[in-house]
Amino acid sequence: MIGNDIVDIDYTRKYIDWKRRGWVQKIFNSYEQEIITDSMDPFTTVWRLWSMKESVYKVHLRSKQERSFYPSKIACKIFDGKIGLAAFDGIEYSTETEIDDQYIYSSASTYSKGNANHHIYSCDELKINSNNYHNFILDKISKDLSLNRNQMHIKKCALGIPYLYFDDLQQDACISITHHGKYLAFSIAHNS
Amino acid sequence: MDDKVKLINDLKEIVKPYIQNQEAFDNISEDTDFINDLKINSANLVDVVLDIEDKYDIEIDNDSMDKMLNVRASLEVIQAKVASK
Repeated sequence: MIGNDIVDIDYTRKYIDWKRRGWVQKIFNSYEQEIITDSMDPFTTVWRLWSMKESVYKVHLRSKQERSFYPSKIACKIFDGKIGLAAFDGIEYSTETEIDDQYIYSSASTYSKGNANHHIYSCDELKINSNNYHNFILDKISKDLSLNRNQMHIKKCALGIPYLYFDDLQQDACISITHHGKYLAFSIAHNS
Repeated sequence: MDDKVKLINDLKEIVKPYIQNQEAFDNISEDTDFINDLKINSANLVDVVLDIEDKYDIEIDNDSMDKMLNVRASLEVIQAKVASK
């Protein structure tokens, strides 16, 4: 299974005051708070850890089918470069984070490395919005996999998890979608 | 005014700066979900919890925060914490 999360840096700087009293303590455990305090770039560290937690939460939600809000209980470690590790509910997840000038993108996975493909887009350039991004994603997938676009759908379940359908049959391939500010990303992973 | 109606109105004021779906906000009820209906960014959900703590002078531990994804669960947490003050 796979989960992903993108943080639009400009949007976040504008709308989220992470330095607000109590904010960091509600989300991060004491070890993570130390990493943030010791960091040369606390903003990037905060949002890297946040995106790791969100992506792990999405994998967990898909697996347990139960919503909750427990960011501080997803314990993250970050290593040099892209790699991270997160533990939650007795399960370890490997994570990868891409840090750009404009966005921070993380994915968490229970698949072996290499099975997941990640795609990141700037919505402004492509005229994507929250009403049409499923169509945009399906166009991309059908093209990449040479499938008939008309037979493909994305449906979200009541918990908000997206599933890929082909001819009304739910597919084994796992899709995770994240939209924040002007960025859209999706990842698709095959269970093989 | 009924206590619950007043609480929902107070909560409506608290979530107002963070909502991204005006129609769901206008029709807010106990069944309203913060993320799926009001489209509140999950990072801003923490602000909602902090604003609730400030308004009612209560502390919401992480186990209680777990449940605060909708109006009904949030009202229950507020009522329990205020009662145990």
